Amino acid sequence: MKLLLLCLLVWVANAQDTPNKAEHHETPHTTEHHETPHTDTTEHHENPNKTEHHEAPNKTEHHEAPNKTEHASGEASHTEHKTVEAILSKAEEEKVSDWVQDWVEPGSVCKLKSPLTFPWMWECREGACLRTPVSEATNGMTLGGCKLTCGKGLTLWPKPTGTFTIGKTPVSFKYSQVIVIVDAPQDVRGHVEKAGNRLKETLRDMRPPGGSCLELSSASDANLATRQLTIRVTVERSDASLTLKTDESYKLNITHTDADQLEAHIEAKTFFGARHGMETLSQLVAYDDANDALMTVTADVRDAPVYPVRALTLDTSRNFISVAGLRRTIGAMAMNKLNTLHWHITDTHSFPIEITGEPRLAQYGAYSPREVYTRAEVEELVQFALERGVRLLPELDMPAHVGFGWQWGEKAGMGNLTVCLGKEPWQQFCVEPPCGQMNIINENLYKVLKTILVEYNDVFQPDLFHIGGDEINLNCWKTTPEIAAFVKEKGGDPTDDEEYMKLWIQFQERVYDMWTSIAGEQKTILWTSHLTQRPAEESLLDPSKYIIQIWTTGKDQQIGDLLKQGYELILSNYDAWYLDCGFSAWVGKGNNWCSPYKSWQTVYENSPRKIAQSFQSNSDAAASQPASQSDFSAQILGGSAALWTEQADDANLDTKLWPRGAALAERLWAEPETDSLAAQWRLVHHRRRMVARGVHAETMQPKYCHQYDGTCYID
Amino acid sequence: MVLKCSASLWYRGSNGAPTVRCRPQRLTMRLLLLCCALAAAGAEPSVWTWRCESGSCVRRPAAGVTDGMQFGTCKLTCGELSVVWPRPTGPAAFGSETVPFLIDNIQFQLVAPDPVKPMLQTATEIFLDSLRALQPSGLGGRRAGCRPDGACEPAVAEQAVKVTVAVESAGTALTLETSEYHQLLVNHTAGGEVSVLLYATTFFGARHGLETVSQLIEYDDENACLQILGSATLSDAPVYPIRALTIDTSRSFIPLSALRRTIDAMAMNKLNTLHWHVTDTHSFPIEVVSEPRLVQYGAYSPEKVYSAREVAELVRYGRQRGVRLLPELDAPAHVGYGWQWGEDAGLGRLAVCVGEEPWQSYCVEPPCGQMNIVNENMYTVLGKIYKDFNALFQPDIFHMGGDEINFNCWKSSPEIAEHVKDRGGDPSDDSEYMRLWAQYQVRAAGLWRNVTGRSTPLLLWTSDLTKQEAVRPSALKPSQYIIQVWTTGTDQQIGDLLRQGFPLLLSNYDAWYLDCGFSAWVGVGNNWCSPYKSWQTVYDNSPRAIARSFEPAGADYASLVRGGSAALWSEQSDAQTLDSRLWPRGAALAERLWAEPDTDSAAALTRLVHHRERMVQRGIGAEPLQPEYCHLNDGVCTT
Repeated sequence: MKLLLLCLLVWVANAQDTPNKAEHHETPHTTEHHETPHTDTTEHHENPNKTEHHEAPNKTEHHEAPNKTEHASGEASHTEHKTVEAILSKAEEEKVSDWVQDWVEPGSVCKLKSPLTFPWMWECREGACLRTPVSEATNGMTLGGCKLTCGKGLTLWPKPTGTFTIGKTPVSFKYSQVIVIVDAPQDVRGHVEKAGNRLKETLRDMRPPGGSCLELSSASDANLATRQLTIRVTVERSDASLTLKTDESYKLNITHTDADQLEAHIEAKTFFGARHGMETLSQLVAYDDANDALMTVTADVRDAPVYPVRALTLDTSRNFISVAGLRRTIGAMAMNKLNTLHWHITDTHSFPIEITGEPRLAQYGAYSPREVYTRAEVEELVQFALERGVRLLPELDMPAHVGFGWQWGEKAGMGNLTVCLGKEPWQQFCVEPPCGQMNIINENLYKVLKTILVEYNDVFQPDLFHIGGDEINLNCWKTTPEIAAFVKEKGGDPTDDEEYMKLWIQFQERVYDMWTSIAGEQKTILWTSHLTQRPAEESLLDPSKYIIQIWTTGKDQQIGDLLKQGYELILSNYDAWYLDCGFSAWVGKGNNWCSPYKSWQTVYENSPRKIAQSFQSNSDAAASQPASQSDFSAQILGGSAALWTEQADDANLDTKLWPRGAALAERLWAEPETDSLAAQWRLVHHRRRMVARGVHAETMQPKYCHQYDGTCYID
Repeated sequence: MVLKCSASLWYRGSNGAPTVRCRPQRLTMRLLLLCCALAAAGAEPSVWTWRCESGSCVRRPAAGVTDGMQFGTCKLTCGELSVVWPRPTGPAAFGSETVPFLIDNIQFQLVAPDPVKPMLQTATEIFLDSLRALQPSGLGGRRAGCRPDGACEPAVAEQAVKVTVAVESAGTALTLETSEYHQLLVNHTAGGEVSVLLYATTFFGARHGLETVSQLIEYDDENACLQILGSATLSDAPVYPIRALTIDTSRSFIPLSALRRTIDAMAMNKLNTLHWHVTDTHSFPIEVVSEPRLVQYGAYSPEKVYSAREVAELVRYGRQRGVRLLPELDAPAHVGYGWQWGEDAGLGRLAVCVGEEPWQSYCVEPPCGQMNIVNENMYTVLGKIYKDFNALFQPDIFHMGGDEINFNCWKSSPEIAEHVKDRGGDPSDDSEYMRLWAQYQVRAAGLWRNVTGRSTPLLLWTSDLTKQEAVRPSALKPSQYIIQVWTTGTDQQIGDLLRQGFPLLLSNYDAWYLDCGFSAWVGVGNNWCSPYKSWQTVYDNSPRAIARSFEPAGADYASLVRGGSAALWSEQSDAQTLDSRLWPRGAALAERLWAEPDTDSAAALTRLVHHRERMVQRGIGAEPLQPEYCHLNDGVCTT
């Protein structure tokens, strides 16, 4: 029967064509089926139990039965006379193509209009904003107005570290009356002015596209039309680059003058501090529904970060992230006063960055010709980030995590630049497929390396550089004949791991010297590894040369050892700050290796200071020294939450980074004594603000919880 | 003037022979010469090429390789079912030749009864849109049908692709009995044209067939156009009639655009049911025209509302894409905001315990709320909602909720306790409230029947009511109810329900709850049903195997399974996260429900990775499963 129908189809298809086309099919002899499509055709179901569905005669009742269940009572008569049937018949009349294009996005359209006005206002009770029926509210505010004035800084994120006071009375102003006046040294004046313009755009965009949906009667405010908000930004110093010594502090003062004007004064030592101050100011402004204007409050804020390195680590090798995705990420970091995008640009999987001095790296290393960061794009990105107070900290991970992009060496007469590339079974030669490691005994490798480092220095002008150094697989080198032979030639035992360890250390030192000869004396960053784990006398690493980024757990004894040796640390302990954990395994089954998912609460409560101090007491106890002798937490430069992108790309970048990146930001900015629960309401509000500003941050709670502070708890 | 020549001469047929078919003999030579010239002049943009080795596409350096393929060509021609998702259940065979063509050269011939024709017409427009999405915007600055060096091959420009769709039934409604069967024949004819023949019993089968055809097409980077698999035959039909996603729009509002995108993505996966958990205690976002106070008091904000018109349009949008909207009005628990105005309106309390604290004593999550099932006015309002829902959704199945009733809420509500006492019951006895609940369920079901005038199958979540055999027989009958299982796949209740003949829909949370594994939304740590359900877990959750695990000898439990639904509860999900939560795990679900494959997730990996890329191309923010490296190198990323 199936064959028969197929033949029928062939016949139908060929009906208008020459008849000799269907020579490889049976003759189409069943034309009557075509003319009577309602004949019984149950046979072609996979399941013979199922019977064909024909239009049942009782199927058409929906539209013609308004008389069937007419409700008796008339209590709904206060509304307009519309019925669902009327709506349906109208929808039915229109062509599908008409209404599909007509649909307007919710969020910009008021669906509840008079007489169905929104029946709620908000009241501030004991520092919480609670939704209250309009009829019961004695001091009703809009949600935005309540969050602005209730409690202490419900709208601020990350919370200021200095003293601050926020007023209780919102003052309205028109966006058109905002003026920014910049007083800054010539070198940074352009930066400050641009930041001022962005601040104005942020304020402008607070108005919903269609204005207010709340139908509130406006309060009498005679001066609204003429009231100005004058934002004065004063920057003292001319430093235009961000370093570990940069002063990021600021003072923000918002006053409502006797002349009924608004003045905001931001004072900072550097452009970077001033930019943070503008960010804070934007958090003290909300949309004023009643007047279709904006509103702010009087405030006095003194603020400075606890740690100089507040970072996200982003991998663009496992999956490519578009420049637009990177820009959006930098914009979101700026909203959170994070200041460092640690860019893990390359790995074994792909080499997506153009090195103009050696174009074969990207040519052979990019997933596709479209998935490349050109030099011009990177240069623009560096500038884009700097203007938002964010340094791009490049990482060239080596000598492991290297592979595709380096394959052309042999053909180019330079020998193997990498070894073990794509070697199987991968478990023996690396930590994840595909394998690859530098051929560190090939002198030509260092020529290519120098080309990259020179160009990185030119493009990024980094004050910090990351040279990777994680997850070296000694077996890869050991099983590579030319490396084993090299060891033997030098009189070593090619079966001894320690020989390869030595090679690694020599490589490390050589790369450090190469970098500092290019970029000048500066510390470089290394991941924790077998190298950093070694006892001080064997590691041959020098705390004055290296900053160590911790990726093991926050309880790893290595942290204490490194602190004791005097290293400065950046924390990225995976048990709290790996943002890729908890999803599907990407090799094999179940969940991925570092499951569970690190909740925003876990991210928030991971305190570098406490981690450092936990080893301090241990070490003090062991050495029976007084606790005051050294302060381990002073060796913490900050932290970075890492998004490894085996399972992330543009599609889910934002949801993986935010709002957990915001939780990180407050931890690193403020090192609060309080825990995540105390931060919850503010973060829920901040998350909504991020979404309104175009970042796809994850929902933390039902919107209900945002409308009733404090009701979504558990004991 | 007509150069009727197949462009497939750049490719090799299944037997290795060049498949050059040109009508006027003398043109063949000229064409071949042209091809040679092009090959010589053609600049190679990529350093990579692909080869099919034992069913896997293997990436190799292009230098010196003569038998290499583009990536898309390899995917289309290499391996079993490598591009079709979900996998066909009937016999399927694919050729190894691809044919480049321009999208504008697709012609349709539609053979269908009148009521179906306009829907079929729209389906072809959707089909063309999905093909356009495969092409880079503006073709990356190239001319369609032309090679990177600018040479344009006339055969590509003139390649005809004729799609014939025949539908037999005039039915335009999706029901549990609807055939979604379809049969497909793609043939590169002797005349040079590519003929696509699609037969289906119903419109729904036909649109699935078009979906399959769209998966046999990839972008052709060499010719800046599309390429279609030149030969394929398959017949296909789903194993389960209900292949669903459960979407909650009460905890967080989900804008219409995101619901439409979800329906688009479901259609790409041949899922056919959007089980819409419209309301809950938190908010009541849908306009009920005959009782507008529900949405007035229930919406989070004046913007976060689905108007009746929008709902009607969404129902139509879904049907056009083979997706039924299955509405749920969860009751008598999970009810609260939206019902608070009763007292002021002189109707008494319609809901009780709304926002009651401490919430742990009265409900499973804040805020609390439950129907006041002893208030007669409540039933009047309920009738209005049912009437509107019936008109808007025209549902063939209706979900009445029925989960997580908290007796303490009713017990501690004076008017309900009083009611029990009036009837001579003991108001401190839980079983009294159990009886009230059962009575409510019978009454609500009757109300629905009266309002709709027909006996649609009703869905209920597993609960104490479905568990308690003492109460159940009078309240719930297997002929009337399908039970949606949300407990684990090893819950003995599944066996009990099957033994009594209840049809089941599986949503066992240990595999098919898509909200699990993230941050807790009350308290600290991770949420209650952690860990995250990996796509492998979703894929490997077999309703048939679950039913059989409870099956005594001689019984056939598997036939009682109507399908399944993966649920996204939206406490921590809204438009920002919707796509990444639903996809590609929803695709893993789709293949399980369409095909019930005997193979496991590991066997599906490379196909799903490719399908995910396709979904992204078509505008769905599906999560990546693996590094792109794994997509470009089949089979390398395994343990």
